[in-house]
Amino acid sequence: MRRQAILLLSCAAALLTPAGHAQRPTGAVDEWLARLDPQGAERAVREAMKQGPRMSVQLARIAVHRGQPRVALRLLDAAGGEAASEDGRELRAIAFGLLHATEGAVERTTDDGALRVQFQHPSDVVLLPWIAETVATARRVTGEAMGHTWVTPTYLVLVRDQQTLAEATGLPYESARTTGTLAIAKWGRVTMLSPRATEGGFPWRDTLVHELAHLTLTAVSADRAPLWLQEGMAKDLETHWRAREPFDEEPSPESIVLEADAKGELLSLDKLGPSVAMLPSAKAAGVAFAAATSFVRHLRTELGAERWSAYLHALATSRAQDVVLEATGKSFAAWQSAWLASLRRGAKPKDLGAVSAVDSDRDVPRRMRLGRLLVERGHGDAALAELGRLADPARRRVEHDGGWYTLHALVHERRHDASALDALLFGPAPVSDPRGAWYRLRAQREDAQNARDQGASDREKAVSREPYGPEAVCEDGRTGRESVLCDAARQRLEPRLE
Amino acid sequence: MLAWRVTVLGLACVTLLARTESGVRLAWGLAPFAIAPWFVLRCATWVPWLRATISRVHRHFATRALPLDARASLPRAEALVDGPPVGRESVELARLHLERVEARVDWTSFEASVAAVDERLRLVARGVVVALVALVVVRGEDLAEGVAVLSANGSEARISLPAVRAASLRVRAPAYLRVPESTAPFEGSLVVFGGSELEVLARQRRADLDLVVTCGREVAPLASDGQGAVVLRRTVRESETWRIGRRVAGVFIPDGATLVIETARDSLPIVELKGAPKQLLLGETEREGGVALAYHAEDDHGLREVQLVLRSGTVEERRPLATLDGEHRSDNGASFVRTADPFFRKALGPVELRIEARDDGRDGARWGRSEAIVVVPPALGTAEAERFKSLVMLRDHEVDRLARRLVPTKEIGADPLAELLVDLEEEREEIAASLGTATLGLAVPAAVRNVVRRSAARLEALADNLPKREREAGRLEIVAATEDLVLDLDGALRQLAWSDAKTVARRLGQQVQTASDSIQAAAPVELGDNLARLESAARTLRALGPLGRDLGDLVEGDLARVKPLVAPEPSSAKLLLAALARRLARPDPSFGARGSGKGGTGDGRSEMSGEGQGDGSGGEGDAGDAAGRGAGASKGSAVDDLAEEQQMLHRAGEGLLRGGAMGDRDEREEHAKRLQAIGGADELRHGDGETQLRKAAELVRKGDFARARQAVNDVERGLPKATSRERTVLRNRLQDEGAWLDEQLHGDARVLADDEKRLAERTRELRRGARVEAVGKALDTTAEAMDRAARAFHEGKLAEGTTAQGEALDGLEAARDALQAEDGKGADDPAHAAVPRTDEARAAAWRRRVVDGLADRRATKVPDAVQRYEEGLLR
Repeated sequence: MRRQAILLLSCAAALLTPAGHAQRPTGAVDEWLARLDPQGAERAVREAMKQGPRMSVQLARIAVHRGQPRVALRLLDAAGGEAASEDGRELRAIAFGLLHATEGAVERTTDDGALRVQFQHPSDVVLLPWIAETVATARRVTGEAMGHTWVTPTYLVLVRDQQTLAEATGLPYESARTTGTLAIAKWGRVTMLSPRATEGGFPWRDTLVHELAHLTLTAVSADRAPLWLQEGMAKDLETHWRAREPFDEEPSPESIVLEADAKGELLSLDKLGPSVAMLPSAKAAGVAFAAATSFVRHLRTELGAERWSAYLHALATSRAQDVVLEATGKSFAAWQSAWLASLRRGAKPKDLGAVSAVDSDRDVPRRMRLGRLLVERGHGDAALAELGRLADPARRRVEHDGGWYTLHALVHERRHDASALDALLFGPAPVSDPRGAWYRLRAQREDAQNARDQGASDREKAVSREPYGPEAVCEDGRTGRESVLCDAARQRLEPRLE
Repeated sequence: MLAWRVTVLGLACVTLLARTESGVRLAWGLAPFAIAPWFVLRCATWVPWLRATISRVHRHFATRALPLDARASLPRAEALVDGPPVGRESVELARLHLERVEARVDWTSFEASVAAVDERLRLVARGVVVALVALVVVRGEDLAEGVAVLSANGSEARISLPAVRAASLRVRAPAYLRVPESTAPFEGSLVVFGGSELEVLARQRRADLDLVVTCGREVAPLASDGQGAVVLRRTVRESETWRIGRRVAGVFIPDGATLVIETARDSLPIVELKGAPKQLLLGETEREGGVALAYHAEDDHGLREVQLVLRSGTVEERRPLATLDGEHRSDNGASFVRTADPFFRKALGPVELRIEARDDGRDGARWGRSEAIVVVPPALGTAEAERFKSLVMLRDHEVDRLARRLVPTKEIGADPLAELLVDLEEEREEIAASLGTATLGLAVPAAVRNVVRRSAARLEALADNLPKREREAGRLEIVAATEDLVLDLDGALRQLAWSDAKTVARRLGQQVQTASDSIQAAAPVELGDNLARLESAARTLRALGPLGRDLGDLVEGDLARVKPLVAPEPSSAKLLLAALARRLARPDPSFGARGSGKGGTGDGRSEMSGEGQGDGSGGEGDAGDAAGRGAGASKGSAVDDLAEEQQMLHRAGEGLLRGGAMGDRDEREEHAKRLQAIGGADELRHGDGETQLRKAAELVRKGDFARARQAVNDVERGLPKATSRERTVLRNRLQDEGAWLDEQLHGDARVLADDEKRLAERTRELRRGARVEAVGKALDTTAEAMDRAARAFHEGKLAEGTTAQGEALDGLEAARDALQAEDGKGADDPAHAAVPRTDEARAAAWRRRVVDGLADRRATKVPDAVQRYEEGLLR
């Protein structure tokens, strides 16, 4: 690291000498960076330096890719007027953001050198084993899906809040808060929000895989993949690292698209703007994700595996995305029309109503909050009675709701009613997006029934869903990394009063 | 003897030269020559030579008495006799030749001539001696001055020479001491008050003397008074010794008179603070609610002012306690510093409380200070956290009660109704006690009190009617009312925790900024203490609900990164702390998503809990729960709920408009001071930057954030473009203040806009279920007004927003009227039954409570009007 920094600085010093202002060979550098190869970019810079142009901003860009914000700032300071360009200013802001996130941060690299992680919050280091596993799987899965072999290490910065996420990536903070952005794959790295930043956690391992899919496609296509392809591929691949869950895509992307289409809220896929994270609302972002996912699946099915792979790789060598798509036989507009037409043809009446919010009845959150308060005070029977007071129409609406089922399971646990717990946990009703505690309780019951493999799998799901929820990750008698994570989860919640 | 004479005379001549500085230099140059004869003559080897020389001079003059032929022949003849003998004959011949030459000389005449030469030489020598003696006699004083100058030790002579004939002194004490003028001779010792004016009056011995007075280390010249005397006026502040004398060639030659002046200090006021010195913990003070201070101040001449001084680190605040006329020599008084005093809440470390009194002196600081009472405040935010904790305890107890009412125990012989009534009575007392208790001086906010009391009143009304109701139906009504109470309390708690967390985080951010500013100047120990206090405050912040926990955790994480960097890389530590301060100036939750009830993620997944763990804005408030709260109640109650929430938002809007209610006055003052401090920077002092920032500070104090922001912008733009470390720091500080102003301008307004938007959605939901056309129309109008208010707040148009809020309130009032007109209800609705006069039992209970309340009143300040009203109730 130190050697690289010195090299970059020496390059910068050499570039400060008067030089000709020939055409700047930034294209080659960008190309290498787009392929996630800073070494290649550095070679391009050296080549360019032989001809004499000034390239401090490009060197700073490489430093940002390498995760060396201080070096980048020094290079920009030395760049003079070149750094005053819009490009230079943006780079400076991002370098500062990255510096705030990583200065004094805990840094870990896996033994095989395939992963480098910087933890802005020192306590997040307990997640390293799970991160390493997820990244290893994701590199394999996304690589296989896109015909790419990862050679460079994966660089992950786990930040503590959305403001840092925005500052370290260049995404406007307001946009991040509007769409609820959790992670960004840019600058050759994944910058992701720590699960400790949200009160109830989020499926952070899916998010990590999603972002790694972006990086993979960026490398494959030399960053020429259109936004709909990026998001569609990433969304499609984000769950491939694990076994599928019954409600992984509930509501389905197709049903979301159809509802948005019916309401006139569906944007054309080539008009999504610079990033989904910059759409006007989280709902709009959700619709965009669903549309991209559905369209990519449609296209892949229609093209077949071979032509699909050829299409992806052709992007890297052509500058005109539409031309590449047209080589498949149809224009983009034609493909989009065909996709929508196929969706409309296959639409079932229930799909149109599938997106209706479960929580539209106000009695549900009311009963659930009371139930939660009662169970936390140790009143299992009263909590059960309270949940039982939910009126029938509302009850039907929560028949698959993960939050409702998780709370019920906790109530039965409090009441030490194993049979009721088993009936609930292993019952026939599929549960949508259950909380971490649900998986932990399942794992405990599975252990009790000697189904230890399933128990281990459910524990992993609990960590994936809510790593900092003591109800999700804390069990008596556990040791090793689970015990360490449990301590971190408890510490994070102390003192819990509310 | 001759050598002595020559040397003394030479020295005398040299000394006479030493009258001016150049003369002194010349004299020192000639002095070796004056001393040389003595030195030479003292050497034995030279004495014969000198004698021979004198002899030669003598012989020269004596030889002139010889005849011309003898003058040459006689020495040759003598030389032949005295020369080396060549042979016997020659010696004889030489003597013979000498005798013949001598025989030709007239020796009588020669001797007479020699005697005459002797006499002339003697006369010359005597004349010289007389002349020199006369010179010494005539210029004796000058000679003495010269001796004094040449023998001086530095700039002061070793000997004294009288310079004045008479010297006297006139003493005038400072006017405020009211001491009459007095005179004294210029000798001995004298005691005067500090600040007295002394006038020296003297007559000099010679008009050409340069008379001066040495006053301590200073030399002050005396000036002619125009009447033949010289005078000097000087104010004495310190004890010093005065000597009068002359100044010659830069050397002070004292006259001999010395005056030792001792200043009797006008003593500083003596202040005694009862109980000081001592140290105590805030919240564990001897007197409940704060620190009582009783003082006695005394001065030898008179007091002007007494102040209470609160000091923590470098931050000081002075509060006037008494302003006096300067005649009173003592003052007694008392003061009380509340536990909830803003200074304690802002302080990063221990706070010193002192009483300081100023006398009437005019020179320098004239403050007498008492010993200190050191109050160690708890970590920042402790009061808020403790208050929250106490309310959480109340809610938990309510949850326990709800559990008992939901699943009643079935003990044999127990009377469920009686138990329930007892439980309800205990509940009422606990609620009253909890809502009336101040924690570390922090009372329960009125909004929380009102919400809880309203729910509690509904429960009480049901309790009063319970004996009349069918048992199970009555129990279920009680259960439903308890559920409402729990949810109301829970919702109010969440809002309270949310706003408290924001406030505490902002204050913590200011302290983080202070720590960042001091990171390179502070000693390591002090820095360590600062970081420890920040950590402690972060731990406290964690206790304030989800937002507090989130921000507290964030602060702890950042401090953990900062601590190892402080010693090796202070600039990095400073950078991180400054970034943290900026983050806390905008205390948003770490994660937020808008535009979808499910909350979004980067990949569109829903991740927020459906268990009321937070809504789309990351846990703010309790919109979901509040929305659910009204589901089981009548539409009238739902409208009431909306009206109440709209009323709260309206108050918040008006507060924003006034620039005070949602902005902490102390916080404004803090930022105003910061702006003033920035204005004092050298970079800004020479332009109009200082003036503009002073103006901005005043605007901040008044809550006019928009104009203050403009002024800060102007100053920032006016900063020279060239970079320097100072300018960068200055620009950063200006940007920080700008960010805070932006937050004041738009931050709370946007939160308010979001709240209004949510309320509008709830109103529309209610409208969808409205069966009565008039109610529907009123709710439509209301929702539309709420939307307008939301838009206006989002755009920062506060006046427009509050006006629209008022219209929304009118709409809700109209909806309520329409509902009541349609349903004709009021007395049957438990929510409307809580009027004491309508029910004798309730009225009796009400009076009983008032009696209890009055009996239990302890030192509470009740306005007279309220007291009269209460007494009237008892009649």
